[in-house]
Amino acid sequence: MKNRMLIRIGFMSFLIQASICEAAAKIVVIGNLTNKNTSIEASEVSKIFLGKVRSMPDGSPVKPVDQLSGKKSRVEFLDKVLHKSEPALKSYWASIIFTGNGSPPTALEDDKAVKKFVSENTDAIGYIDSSFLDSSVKVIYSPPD
Amino acid sequence: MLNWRPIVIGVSFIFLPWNSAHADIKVRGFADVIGSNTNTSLPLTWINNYGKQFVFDSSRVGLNVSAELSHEWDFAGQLVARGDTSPGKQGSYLVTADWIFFTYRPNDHWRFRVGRQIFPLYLYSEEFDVGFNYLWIHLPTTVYGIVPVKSFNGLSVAYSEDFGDYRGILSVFAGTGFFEQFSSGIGGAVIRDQYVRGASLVVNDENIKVSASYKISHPVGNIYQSNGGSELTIPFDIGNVQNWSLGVSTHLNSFLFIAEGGTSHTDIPNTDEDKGFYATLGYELLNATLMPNVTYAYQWTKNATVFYPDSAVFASDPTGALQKSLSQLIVGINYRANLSTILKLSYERDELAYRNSSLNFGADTFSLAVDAIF
Repeated sequence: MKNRMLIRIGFMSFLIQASICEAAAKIVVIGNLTNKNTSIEASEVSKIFLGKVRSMPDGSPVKPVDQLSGKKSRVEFLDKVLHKSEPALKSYWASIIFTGNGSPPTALEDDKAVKKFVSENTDAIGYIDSSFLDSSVKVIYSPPD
Repeated sequence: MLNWRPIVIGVSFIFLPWNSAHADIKVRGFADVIGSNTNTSLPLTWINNYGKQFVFDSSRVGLNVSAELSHEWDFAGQLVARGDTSPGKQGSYLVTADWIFFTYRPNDHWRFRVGRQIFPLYLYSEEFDVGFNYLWIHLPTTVYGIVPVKSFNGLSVAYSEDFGDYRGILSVFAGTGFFEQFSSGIGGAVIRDQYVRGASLVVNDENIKVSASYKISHPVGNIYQSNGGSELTIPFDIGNVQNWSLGVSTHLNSFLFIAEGGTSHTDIPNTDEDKGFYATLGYELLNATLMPNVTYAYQWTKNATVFYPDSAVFASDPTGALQKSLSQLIVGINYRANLSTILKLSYERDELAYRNSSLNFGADTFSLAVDAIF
């Protein structure tokens, strides 16, 4: 009886911890360690990922990388930073592509792949879940909670 | 006369392999399969691709190639296969390079482009092909002006500047255009749009876009007509043609609204003149999966010959009245099957009226389309 109670308490605390972690997890925009921009505005992130500008605010070239459709970080990024639904973004890029006015950022597999790419390419920026952060990249934008 | 095609293609072949090690080359495409059935009171000799059977001649397939050659330079081209309406060639397809150009962006404000390009006029640049292919709403293609040349070989320069949430883009362009169209049982036209130059101004933010544009050119060429077994070749030279257009589009709170008006006229008094507009309204339902939509378009024209691409009417005026109007009402519903595929069902009513004449023609068209991008 006592063991059963301990198991229940343990399981519930696991669920609570998991939900806390879930709530705490958030996306951040990352850059290469050599990126001279310490932080950029939300509107600048949006312009870069929508192909409206090709440079960072300091004028240096930038290469944004996206994540594959349906990834959790991407859903959050579209919602909190680009403020577009997936169909709206698809329609936006279709009109850009088929008039020859640009291409969407290359989409990588997941947070790990984005972090690796950004850490290895000086011009790259991307977004990942903050739980994947380490010293190989730096945060240049963090959306408000 | 400078022929841009070999220059652009030649430069492409030289430039691309040279940069292939660094170029980020992407290949994409679209398919737009449209089946339609029309009942019309137009005499058969005056109609183009209209019959009582289900036809697919408006369908098109596009192949799009783009390459980022460096941070400043990129290349883009688009081949499109469309139904061939030349006499005796129904059911076959014509492949054309709609546009193929190099773009140079020294910074985020300036853009220089050389090659074959779509006119940066509102309708041409945004709705002509892509709109048919992927925008939710099926726009009519009648409000184009006297000579519906949609691309030119030449140079364009654009400057953009941000004002808070708004962005303004001013572009100027110059070059030579080309138009060729043949229709079964009627004849056709081959027109070179010479000395094209113009400008456009676009102001937009996330929700609304306003565009104004101007173009002047001197189209010359020949019109071919079949009449009772005889072939007529009529030289086409109506002086300078000027086009103006003003458009607005907005996507706000599930509503999509697009409207544009345009006018074109020649320098010669009492000759050719066109005026027209369209307005289209759609509303997103069920998380933007369904969109019922309605479009109304009206074009008034005063001339001997008018070209209506993708329309029933491609003919000189049979009444000699030289003034006619075309109104179109399109009611449709679109269903987004997935992120890349849209099904469209629409009904279209066209009415053609001649001034000082009792001749009035109408056409009812039902169409079903599947649009996909890949």
